[in-house]
Amino acid sequence: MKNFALLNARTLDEAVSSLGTDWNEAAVMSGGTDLIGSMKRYIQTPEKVVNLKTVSGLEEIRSENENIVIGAETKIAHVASDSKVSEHLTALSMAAGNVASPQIRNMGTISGNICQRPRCWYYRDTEVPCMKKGGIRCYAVAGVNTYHAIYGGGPCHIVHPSDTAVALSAFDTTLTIVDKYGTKDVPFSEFFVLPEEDASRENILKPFQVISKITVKAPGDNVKSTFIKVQEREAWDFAVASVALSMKMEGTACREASVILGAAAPIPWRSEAAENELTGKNITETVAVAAGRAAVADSTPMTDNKYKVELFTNIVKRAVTELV
Amino acid sequence: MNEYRRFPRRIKTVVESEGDHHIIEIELPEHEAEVLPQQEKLNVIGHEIPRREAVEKVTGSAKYTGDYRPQGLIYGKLVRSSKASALIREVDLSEAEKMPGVKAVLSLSRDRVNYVGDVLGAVAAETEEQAEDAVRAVRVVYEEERFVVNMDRAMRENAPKVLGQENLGRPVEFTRGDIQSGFNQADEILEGEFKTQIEIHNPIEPSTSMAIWGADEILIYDATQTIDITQEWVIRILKSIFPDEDISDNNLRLRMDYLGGGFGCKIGPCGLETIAARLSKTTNSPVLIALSREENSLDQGNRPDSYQKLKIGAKRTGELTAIELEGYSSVGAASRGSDNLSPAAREMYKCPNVQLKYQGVFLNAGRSRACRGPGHPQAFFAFESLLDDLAEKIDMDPLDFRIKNYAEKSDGDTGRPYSSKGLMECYEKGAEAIGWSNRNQTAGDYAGDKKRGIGMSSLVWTGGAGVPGSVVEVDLFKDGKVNIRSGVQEIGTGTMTIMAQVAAEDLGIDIDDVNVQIGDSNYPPGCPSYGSLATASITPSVRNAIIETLRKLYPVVARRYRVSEDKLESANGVIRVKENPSRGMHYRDAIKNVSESKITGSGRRGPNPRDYVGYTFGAHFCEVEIDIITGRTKVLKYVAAHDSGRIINPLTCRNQVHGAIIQGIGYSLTEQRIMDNRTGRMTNPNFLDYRILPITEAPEIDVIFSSTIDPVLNSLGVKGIGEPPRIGVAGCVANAIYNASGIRVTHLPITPEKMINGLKTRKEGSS
Repeated sequence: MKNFALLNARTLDEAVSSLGTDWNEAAVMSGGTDLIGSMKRYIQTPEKVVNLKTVSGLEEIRSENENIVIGAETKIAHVASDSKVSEHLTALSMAAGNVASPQIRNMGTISGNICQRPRCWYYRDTEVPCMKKGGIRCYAVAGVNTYHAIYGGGPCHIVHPSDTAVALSAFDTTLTIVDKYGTKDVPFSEFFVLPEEDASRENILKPFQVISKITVKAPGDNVKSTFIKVQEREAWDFAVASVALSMKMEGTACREASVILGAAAPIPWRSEAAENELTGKNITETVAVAAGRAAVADSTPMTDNKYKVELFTNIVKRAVTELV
Repeated sequence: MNEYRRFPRRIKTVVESEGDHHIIEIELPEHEAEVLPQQEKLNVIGHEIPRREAVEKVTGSAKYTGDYRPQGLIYGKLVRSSKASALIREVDLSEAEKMPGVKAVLSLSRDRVNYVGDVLGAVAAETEEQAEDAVRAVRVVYEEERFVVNMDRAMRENAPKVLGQENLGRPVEFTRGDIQSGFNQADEILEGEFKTQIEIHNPIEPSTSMAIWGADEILIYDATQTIDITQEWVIRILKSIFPDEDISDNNLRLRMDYLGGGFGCKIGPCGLETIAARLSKTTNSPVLIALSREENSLDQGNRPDSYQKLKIGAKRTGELTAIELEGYSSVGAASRGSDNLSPAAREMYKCPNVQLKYQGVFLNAGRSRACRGPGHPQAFFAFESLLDDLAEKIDMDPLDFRIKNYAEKSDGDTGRPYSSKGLMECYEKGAEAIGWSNRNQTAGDYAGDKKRGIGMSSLVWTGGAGVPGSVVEVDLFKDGKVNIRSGVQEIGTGTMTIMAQVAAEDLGIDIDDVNVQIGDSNYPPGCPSYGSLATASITPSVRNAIIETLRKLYPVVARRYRVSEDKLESANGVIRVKENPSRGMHYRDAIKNVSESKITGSGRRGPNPRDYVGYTFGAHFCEVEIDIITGRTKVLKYVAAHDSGRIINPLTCRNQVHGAIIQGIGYSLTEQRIMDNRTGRMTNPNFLDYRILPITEAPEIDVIFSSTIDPVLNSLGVKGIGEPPRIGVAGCVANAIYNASGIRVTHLPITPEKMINGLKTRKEGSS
């Protein structure tokens, strides 16, 4: 690991004023479960680490008007066990409860989970000069791409690693981003960026910005949600495929639907085609199957990940069936 | 010279090590312990006694090799190749040498590297971090060459030649009977192609060595499965580097208190010993080298993969008539033979006509090594899978099919008799425990998204009889307490505990009065901790050593009862008159009559009987559940029925079976080394991407031991257990998956990807 300076920030102001304009100047640390490993492998080599865990007031889950507000430094375990979250944002509660292992859920935070770097094994190998690290090539294309993207890939083909980001995308979610110039609210759907826009990053955060809170509009009682994650082993694993589904129901009819695919694309991937199959329909087995098929209709799998197409078809169908 | 290495009375005998057989010369023991009674309940042997180091281990106070921090310790790190194949033009250590804290740099003067992770040199620094920084400052100039890192490509005609010769190693061939006439006699013949993956041993403790090159002694703490063999090699290598130094087993000492697992990757020197010793000599400081998980994955061995073409013929009535196997395993960048892929085809079942050929394939990757039951899990996965398909084809219950072909003698019923074989009892009890009759009569005929099924596998470990040669020393003290001492290892199986049990039994004392001293090359030579042979090797030595030591008190007892010494015998610590056993003294009383403060004696283990083959057997059964939506398999229940002779400690023995089943399920479902063809690098040298099974997926495991006590192998009737429970798992799980889903997966590991593809093909086939 490269030597670095550690700043235990006490306030958000102190934190953001310590950040720089270059990623190598300073890195923001929440739980540290990703950053420290990445630094040990020299994937990230910041001069300074700004610790947000020491900032008070960022670890909370509260109701505010119609919203549920989750502080940026709230532990994933806390999100998973909170009763407001499990009641109103079931998919998020399930996703948080499925992250990695108990130890990592106890250390890791919600903002850290959303901002973690991809698990692509070419990106994680210091010796491989891939596009995400500033190289000219995505090694997954001609390499082993079993776990890579079937949507939105190119020129880099990572999948976004976060489970909670997939669930949060199924709700009306807003992120609050802070820098030394002020505070702004960003719709969650505008937070993530595709590699065609910037292959070196996964979201719009600048080196001098941090997330302070996540605001989710509590859906009405007629909205139900669920999250399904396929992983190769039962614990301590990233998704091979996941889906977050929320549906606003009137009897057996679906009025609105959100279908978000995880581990499908470099960002949480909304499938409008699947949503269209559900919206305005009486939810039957046939509709569920159609939604599953629609979810992958225009996917572009790589050499080793065609099975994901079948997998998404299956889990979207299961998610729909389970919700009604 | 260690005095026990002189062999005055020699005999040639055959020994087995990790599935291979060698002829060695050994010294015969003076006196052999009486065979323990078969039926009688014993006082200590056979009892569930917690391992003696349990508290130390779970509280973290047990010292493993990397836990020793002597005064002045510095840290070594290795310089490794980042290329899969290259000529080395230059290794420039000058920048590294100037880095803060650096005490020494070392170049191994290699002119080429053959795989990523190949060692080029080393540095030593005051802290581990400084050593790591210094390694990064080493400049290596490579001239890259073509390479090949996967077996399918290495077998192509125009593939780069890994070792400058053909990539195919010399084949091992075996023929019995006449294969063609065997197939002619068959009513049904099935052929299959099977692939298994490369497994990394991944003991929790990566390879570690710490060397202290002192004026009088070169002391090396080493994580090794073989203290004696490793010591011998380290001496040989150091002598070749330092021909003027006096280095022998008089002054080069190897020590290890506890080993954090090995599974075969710590047999012989790991390579760190001599580098740590050289750095220690240069710096005059103790040097510790502890590998990272990544280094261990690249460079400390692996179970080779396999590609097996298998063909089996049988009569409609169930008799096997012919078995043909062509196999390949990639062995890495080392001139090493293939894993032994023969045991299922050649040994497991009665079959007169067998033809086998298998060979190694060279790759630009870390070399293969013996890995828990070398060859056997691969062979049994393929064979037991195809056997189940054949059972279906001739419409016979898979268990009945196996019983129909039960072999009473070795080599498929054509060779010498087995010393014991309790497999029939394993079949019966195992089938009952799993509820064999409840399995789907038609594969895949289980309603719903979560399909359940039951499968089985037989297994034989072509070893486990133990080897002669290990020596145990015994001290008897005036207060009745004893030391027993031998240079064996505590690999984590409870070796110390069972040695104490055997001593307590034969001395008629409390087990807490037995102090066990192991893990030091200054002790009498023990036995290796591999091949499932330690228990069957060391425990007879303990018994013979006790006999020899008690004999030193015979003069006392002979005087007391006015008989000559040849009229005496000993049992449970009592030295008594053979003709009148009521006239006897416990050694605690006898020893009071001698002037020395303690009595010390030693004994060694004799050879295995010539006319028998000593193998271990088992039958595995399991129930799985497959989620056909996600393609995930979960093993719900596992029944492992084993014939390993007398079980000295059912607690530690079951523990080994549990570990093997969990490891075996990981091999069946999740573990695999993945190599990238373009970069020549391993993509997953870590515990995230190389998936060992988490404890949440450990099924309910029911361990059954057969009542067989081996009547001829040794005086305790014991056989090994370490490897056997790994052998049946993959075949058993694959067969259960087939029974649940109707999908035959012929390529390990059986990931969601393969199940989803299989389910899709099946759905398309039926619609």
